[in-house]
Amino acid sequence: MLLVIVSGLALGGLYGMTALVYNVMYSTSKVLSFGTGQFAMVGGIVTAWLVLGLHWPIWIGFLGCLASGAAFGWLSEVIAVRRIVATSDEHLWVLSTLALSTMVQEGMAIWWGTDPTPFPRVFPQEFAGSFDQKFWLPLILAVLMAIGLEQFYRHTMVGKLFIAMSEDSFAARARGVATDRMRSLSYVFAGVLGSLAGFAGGQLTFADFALGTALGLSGFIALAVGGIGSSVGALVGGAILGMLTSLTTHYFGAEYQKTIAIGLLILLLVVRPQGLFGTTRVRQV
Amino acid sequence: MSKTPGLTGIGRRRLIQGIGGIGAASLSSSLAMPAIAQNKPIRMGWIAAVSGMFATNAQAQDWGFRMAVADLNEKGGLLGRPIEIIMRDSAADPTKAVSYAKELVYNENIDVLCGPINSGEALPTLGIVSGAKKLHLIGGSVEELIDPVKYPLGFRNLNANGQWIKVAVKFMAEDLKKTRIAIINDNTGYGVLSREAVIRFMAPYNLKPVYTATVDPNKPDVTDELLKAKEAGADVITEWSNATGFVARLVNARGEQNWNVPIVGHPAILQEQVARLLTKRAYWDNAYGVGYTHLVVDAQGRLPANVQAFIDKHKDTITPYMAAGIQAFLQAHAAVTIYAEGLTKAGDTDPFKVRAALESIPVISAPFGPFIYTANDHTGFQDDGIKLVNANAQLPNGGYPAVRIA
Repeated sequence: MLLVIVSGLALGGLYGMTALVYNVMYSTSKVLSFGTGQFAMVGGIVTAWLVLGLHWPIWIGFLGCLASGAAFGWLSEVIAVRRIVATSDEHLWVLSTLALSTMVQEGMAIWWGTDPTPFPRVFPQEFAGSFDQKFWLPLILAVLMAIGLEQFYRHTMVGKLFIAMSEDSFAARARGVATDRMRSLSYVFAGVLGSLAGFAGGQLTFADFALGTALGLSGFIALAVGGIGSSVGALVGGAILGMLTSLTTHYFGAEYQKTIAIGLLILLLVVRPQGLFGTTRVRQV
Repeated sequence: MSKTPGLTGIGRRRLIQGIGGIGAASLSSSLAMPAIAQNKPIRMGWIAAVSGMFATNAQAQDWGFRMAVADLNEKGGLLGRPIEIIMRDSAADPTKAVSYAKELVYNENIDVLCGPINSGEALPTLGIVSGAKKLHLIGGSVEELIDPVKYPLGFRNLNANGQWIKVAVKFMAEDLKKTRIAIINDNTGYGVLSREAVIRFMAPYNLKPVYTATVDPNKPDVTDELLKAKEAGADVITEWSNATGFVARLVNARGEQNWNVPIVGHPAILQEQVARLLTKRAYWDNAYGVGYTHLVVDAQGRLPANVQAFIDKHKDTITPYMAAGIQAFLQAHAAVTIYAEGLTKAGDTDPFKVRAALESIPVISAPFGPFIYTANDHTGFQDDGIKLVNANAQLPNGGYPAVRIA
């Protein structure tokens, strides 16, 4: 039973990290990018390439992973968000981020191939059951990421500017905040965090071009369950989804995993549309 | 008596000469026609997804197809005519496959279409090729691809999926002597249909699965499913998925729990890509995949003679294609062999004559395996051409030793 719980929490950590990445981009742009899961996919593949393909040490693989995430995050903002958000109030970012996500996925499939490939062990450790790094790495990094983000939002100037933009982008700009630059920075930041998720979960997911779409959907469910904008919510939403996935298999059968996960999302959207930790914002007019 | 006006002596002579000339011309043209036809190449249409998701396998098949045609051309072609390949790359895209099938059967005037080589692309081309009344050799394993009533000119140059499953169930029940079977399949249409087939083929042995799980192949961890199968008391797991990542996760999860029950399943489990994803290669020891008799070596480690002869003949160019497995290039080779035998017996490219010939040949012994077509069976491949092999026992020559159960 311990292994079932640990496995569920590890999945939850991965989903929670993806939800946190959604939050970072949403805070400055009000965009829920369809490319969110692809950050993890790119990060995982770049790490595998550097470490297993070029035989570089794991720490260089780690830095390369973060660098690829930063670059992809920045490009996402430039290509799929900047012009769209500036020129249209409609939700056309749905199309632009989906298009970019598809292009990146296909590009990686052409370059890397469509078969999943191994991801390196981060620490030298024999498989250790419930205490294996492939389970606890996503779990610990998800918690650290949530705590770090909370500290970042509360105690740094850039973090506070992100919060200001999330509350009222026009007011922030009126107060002299370079909102375009901040948004771009938030996407770089999101890319780094997303690729970190790919690094943390790589031993579970392998380096696989198809990872992004599935992870993006699960991360979005975790985000909706926890509440958009809340780091704690993202983490809790991820944990609930991961545990539900594991426990559903254990008690009801693997066939019901998706039904129960999507059912949870629908139920929450009906009962508590703002999610468990989200808040309903009231705007005075 | 009145004379027939206009037919003077000269006129009659000219008329006779003219008729004679026309006769001679038609005689000479009727004599020349076979000569032209004799030189006209036999046009084999060939659709394979040599780029895209299935590229590795398709490139090996493409190589096998070309080598088989080259071998025939070396011997003078078929019916004394050279063979020409008109190839299109469908890039694993069914819409491209459909469009190329139309182009080949209507614009390129091919004599036979081989491919597409995977079921998803082949299914939408059936009506087109059948409508154009062209012989069609189909390289997919899905049962629905073959229907001698709806598609009388369609023949399979591979086994059907049900044959794989039937032989795998027989292996579990009769060779491994297992009775508590857990079925784990992916949630694609293929996975779900395969699960139903496993249950159907278990019934004659009075067996029912002790556990079944239909799982998203992208799920990052399948420990839960393995633990449930273990709790259910399974003494063998059968998996049905062609997603190498999913299969590797299953094998890893079983190994990590030190639960050494055999895993038996889809040929994907034999792929080197699966081995590369395993935490320990030893986890692959007790895994068995559906292979073919042509892969099983004799006591001296030699492949069947006709397979070895083909490999030896093309040893200069074969290396890049061995990774996909011998069965990949032999499958495409079989398409050429089957058509060649049918055409030779028919003596004519007329597709209905070739069909009748194929249905009447007692057995087509392709290196891939034996095919026996009848009016009611256009799959043709025989069950005894399929053999389970141990995943971690592949030899450097690409073959496998026969499985020995302790």
